[in-house]
Amino acid sequence: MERLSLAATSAAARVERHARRSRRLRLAVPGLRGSPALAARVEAELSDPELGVEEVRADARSGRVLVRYVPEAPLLQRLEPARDAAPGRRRPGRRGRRGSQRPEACWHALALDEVLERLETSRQGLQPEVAAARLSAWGPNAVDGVGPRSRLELLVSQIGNVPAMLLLGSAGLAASLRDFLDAGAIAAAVGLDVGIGYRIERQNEKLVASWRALEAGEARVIRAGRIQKVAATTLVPGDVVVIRAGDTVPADARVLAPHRLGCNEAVLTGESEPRAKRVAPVDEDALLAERTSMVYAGTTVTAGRARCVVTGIGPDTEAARIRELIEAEESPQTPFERRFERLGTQLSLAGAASGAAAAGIGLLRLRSPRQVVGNAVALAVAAIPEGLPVVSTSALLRSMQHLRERGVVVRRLVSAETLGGVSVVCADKTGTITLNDMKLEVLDVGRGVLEAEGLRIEPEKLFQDPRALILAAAVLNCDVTVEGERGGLSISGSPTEKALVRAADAAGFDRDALREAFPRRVLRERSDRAQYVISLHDAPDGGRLAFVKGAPEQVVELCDRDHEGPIDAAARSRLAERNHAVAAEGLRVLAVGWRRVDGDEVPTRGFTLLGLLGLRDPLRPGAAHTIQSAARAGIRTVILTGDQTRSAEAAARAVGLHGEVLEGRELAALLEADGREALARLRHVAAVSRVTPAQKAAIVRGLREAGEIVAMAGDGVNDAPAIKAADVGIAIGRQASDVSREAADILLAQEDMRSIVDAIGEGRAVQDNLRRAVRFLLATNLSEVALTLGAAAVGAREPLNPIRLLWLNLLSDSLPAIALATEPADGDLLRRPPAPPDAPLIDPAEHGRLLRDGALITAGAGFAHLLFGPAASFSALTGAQLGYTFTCRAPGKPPDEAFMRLVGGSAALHVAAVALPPMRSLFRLSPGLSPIELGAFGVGFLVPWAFARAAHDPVIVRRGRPDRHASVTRSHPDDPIQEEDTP
Amino acid sequence: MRFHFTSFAIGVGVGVAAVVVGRHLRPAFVEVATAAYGLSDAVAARIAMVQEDVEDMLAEAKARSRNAAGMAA
Repeated sequence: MERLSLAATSAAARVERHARRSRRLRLAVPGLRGSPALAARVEAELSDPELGVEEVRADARSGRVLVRYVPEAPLLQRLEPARDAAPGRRRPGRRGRRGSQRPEACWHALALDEVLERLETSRQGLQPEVAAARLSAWGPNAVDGVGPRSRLELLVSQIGNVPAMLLLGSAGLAASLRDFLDAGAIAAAVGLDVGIGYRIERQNEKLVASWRALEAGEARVIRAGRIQKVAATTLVPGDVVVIRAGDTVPADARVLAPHRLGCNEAVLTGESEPRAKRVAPVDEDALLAERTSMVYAGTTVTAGRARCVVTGIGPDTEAARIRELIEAEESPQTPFERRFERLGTQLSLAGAASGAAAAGIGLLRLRSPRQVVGNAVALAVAAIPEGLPVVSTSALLRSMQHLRERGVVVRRLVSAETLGGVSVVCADKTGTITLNDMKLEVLDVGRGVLEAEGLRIEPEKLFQDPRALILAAAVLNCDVTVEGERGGLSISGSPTEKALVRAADAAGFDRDALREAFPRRVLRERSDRAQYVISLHDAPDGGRLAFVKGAPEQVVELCDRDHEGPIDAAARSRLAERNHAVAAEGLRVLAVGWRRVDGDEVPTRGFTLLGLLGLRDPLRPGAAHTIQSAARAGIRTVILTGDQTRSAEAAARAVGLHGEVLEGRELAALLEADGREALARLRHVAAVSRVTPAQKAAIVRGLREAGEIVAMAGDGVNDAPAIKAADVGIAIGRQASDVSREAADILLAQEDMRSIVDAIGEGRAVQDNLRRAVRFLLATNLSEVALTLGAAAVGAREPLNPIRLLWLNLLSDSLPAIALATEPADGDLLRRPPAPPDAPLIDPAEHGRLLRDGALITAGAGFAHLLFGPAASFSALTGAQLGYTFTCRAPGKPPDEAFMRLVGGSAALHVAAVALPPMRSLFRLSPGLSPIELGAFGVGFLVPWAFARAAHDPVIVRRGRPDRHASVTRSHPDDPIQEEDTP
Repeated sequence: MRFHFTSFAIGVGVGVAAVVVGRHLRPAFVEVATAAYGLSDAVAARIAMVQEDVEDMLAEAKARSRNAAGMAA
C-alpha cells in the first residue's frame, strides 16, 4: 500500500486506487469526510504546478481526493511505499504486547551506542525525510483515547440494567397476552426512565469532556542538525529531542546528554520526589521508578535540560502500557446489580409459583383453559412490582443530583448506590492525601526547633543571623527557575527546592539581590553516593563561599564544626538526636553547611554546619478529618503509593492510620505465594509503598476477594487500573489525568477528599431509602397476589383484573414508593458501619413483618370484598396501600412536603380514576361511583396511617426501637474498625 | 356533532402527556435526529464513492481505448 504525506493534515493520505494508464490517483484522507475546510486545504496544497498535478478534486462527502497528473509528475516521488520507508515496518517497541513475547529491547539497560544503532539514528538526530518516512510508516505519536462514552453506549447503559430489563420483561409479558395498552404503559415508563437517566449522564459526560486537558503540544527536536519546534504528535523513534525544566516529556526516550536533569514521574510511578536522570544504563529488571537512564512521556521535567533519543511513541510508551492494563481490567458487577438480580430471580419464581397456584385452583374449579391461563399470567404479572425500576432510578437520580450540587459527578448511575456499601477506601498518597507540594515547616539552627511559618529575617544581617544564613545558603544552593513577581510566582524545580525558595521569599529575602550579591560559579550535583549538593559562589567581599545542602548523615560528615564549636563524638550524637527529633514528625530533613574558600576548587570537607531544615508535603485540607470520619463510619482507608516507605508511613501516621506499612513488591510476592495470608495481612495494612500500577489493581482485587466493597481514589495515570478494578473508582480533581477520569465511576470537581465521605453518606441514604421502598412494594404486591388467589380459592368474584393490578403497581404504588425512595437522609448515616456487601435488599429478619403487613392489607381488602363487592375491595386495597406508606417511612421524622405531595397525588389519582366513567369502564367497574367505595378507600387509608402515627409518636413508641437498617452488621465482625486506632 | 367524552379525555390526555413527557423525550429525539443525519451522510458518502468509482472506471477504460487506438495507428 502507498501513502502520501500531506501538510494539511497530520495523518498520511492512503492511496486507494492508482491508475497509471489514466494517470489518476484516488486518495483517502483521514478526517476529510464532512470537512469542506480540509478539502479546500488539500486542494490548495496539491494544486502545485511543480508537483505536475493537472487537476485536484477533494470531496468532503466521500472523504476522498482525485488527483490527475502529467506523465512523470514529481508528485509520484512523494508516494511512500510503507515497507521501504523505514528500518522494518514494526515499531521498535520495547517489548511485545502484555509480556506475551520476550522483550525486544530494554532501552534503559542498553549501552547508548547500541540504542542509537538499533534506532538507526545518531546524536545529531534524524534527517527530515527519514523522520517523515517513519511518521508515515509508524503513525503519529498519539494514543487512541478511550474517549467519552458514545450516545449509543449511554443509551444502552440505561436500558441494560436489571430494573429496566425487569420492566421490559413485564411489557413483553403483557404484549404476549395481546394487552397492548398495558404493554404500552410499561414501555412508556421505561422510556421515561431511560430519557431522564440518559440526559443526566450525557450532561455529566459533557462536563467531564470540558475538563479534558489539551494533550497535544510542541516538542523541540534536532533534525538535520538544527533544533526546530514540531508538533509532539510528529515525533518518531530515533528523533533526538531537547527537553528542559518545565517541559512535559513528549515521548519515551533514552537520555543522551543530560545537564542536571530531574523529572517528576509521579503521574506514572506515584513517587513525589523528582528523579535525577543520567546517561548510564540501569539493570534490566529495574522498576520504572529506578530507570534513571530514561524519561517517559507525560512526566514533567523539574530541573535541568537534556538531549534524549526517542525510543517509544504513542502506543509503545509506558503511559500507553498502563492504558492496556486498564483495558484488561473489567469493571466488577456492583452490589446493587447483584441484589436486583437476586430479587428479580426471587420475584420471577414467586410470580411463576403464584401463576401455577392460580392455574391449579382454576383447574380444580373446572374453569375453561383460556380462563385458567389468563388468570395464571395475570397473577404472574401481579407478583412483579412493575414500578420498582422507576422507583430505583428515581432514588439514584435524586442522589446523583444531590452529589452534583456538591461537586461530585456520578458517571454511572448505579455507583450512587454502591458508594453506600463501601467498606475500604484505597487512596493514592501523592496529590490525593497530600498536596504534592513541599513546604518548609521547621528549621533548627541549634536553638531548638523553630516554625518556618511567620519567620521574618533582615537580609542585611545575613552573617549575624543564623536563620537568615541557613535560608540564604539553602536558596543559593538551589537550581530553580523563577518567573513572575511576588504573589504570582512560577517556579520550576524539584518540590523541595521550590519550597525553600518560597520560604525564603516569605521570610523577606530579595531573591534577585541575593543571587546578584553571591553569583554562583559551580554547582556540584548529588549522585547515588553523595546525597548532597555543593555550590561555590563569589562573595561581596571578594572571597568565595561554598554551601552544602543534603542528607544530614552525609552533610555532617563534611562538617568539622557547628555554632557550638568542633564536632566531636558527643556533638555528632547530639546532632543525630536533633535529626531524629525532626524526622520523627514525619518531615524530610536536610542539613545545610557553609565555609569560606580560597580558589576555584569545590571543597568536600571543612564545612560549618548551619543547621537542619524540615520539610513536608502537607496533607490536603480535610484529609485527616476525612479518614477519621470514614473510620467512624466503619470504613477502612489504605494508602497506596509509589513513594518510598518512609514517606508512606509518615503520611499514614499524619492522617491517623496506625496499621502496618508494606512494600508493593513484598505484598505482590505474598499475593502470588499465599493469597490467604496476603488477604489476612491486608486487613491490617495502613499503607503500601513502592507500588506499581499493576500491583495497585491487584491489591484492590485482593480486597474485593476478601469480601470488601472497595473504592479507589486517585488522580494519576498510575492509579487508573486500580480505579477501574474497584467497585467504585473515584478520580480526584479537575487536574486528574484523562486516563484516570475515563476509568472512574465518580469524579470529584475539587481536590478535596471530604467529598468522598459525603458521597458515601449519600449512597447509604439511597440504600436505606431503596430498602424501605422495596419493602413497601413487596408487601403491597403480596397483598394483591393473596387477595386474587384467596378470591379464586373461595370461588368469589375476581377482585382485581390485570388492568386494576397494573394501575395499582404502576401508578397507585409507584408514587408513594418514589416518595419513600427519595426521602431526605437520616442524620446518623455516618455513625454506623456499612451494610455487609452480600446483604439482601430485605433483611431475612424482616420477612415475617413483610408477611404480616401483606396479610393485614389483604384482610382489610378481603373484608370489603365480602361485604360490598370488587369495587369496594379495589378502593379499600388502594387506600390501605397508601396508608401503609407511612408505616414504611424512616422513623423519627415527620413527612416532608414532597412526600405528602406524592402520596396525596396518588390518592387523588385513585379517586379520579374511580370517579370518571371512562376509567370505570376501563377497570370494568359498575357505572356510577358509590359512596361505599369512597368510604372503603378512606377507612383503608386511615387504619395503617393511624398505626404508623402511633408507632412514630415519641410518647407511644417503645423506647430505643431503632430503625432496622441501623442494625446491619459487618460481614467480618472481627475486622478492626480504625476508630479505635485513630488518636 | 355529539360530544364524545372518551375522545375528549384522550385528546386532553395526549396534550398534557406531550407537554409533560416532551421535555424528557428531547434527548431521545436528538438521538434519533443524530442517527438520521448520520445515516443520510453515510448514504451521501456511499453515493459519492460509487460515482467516483464509476468515473475512475470510465477514465481507465477511456485511457485503455485511446492507448490501444494509438498503438494500432
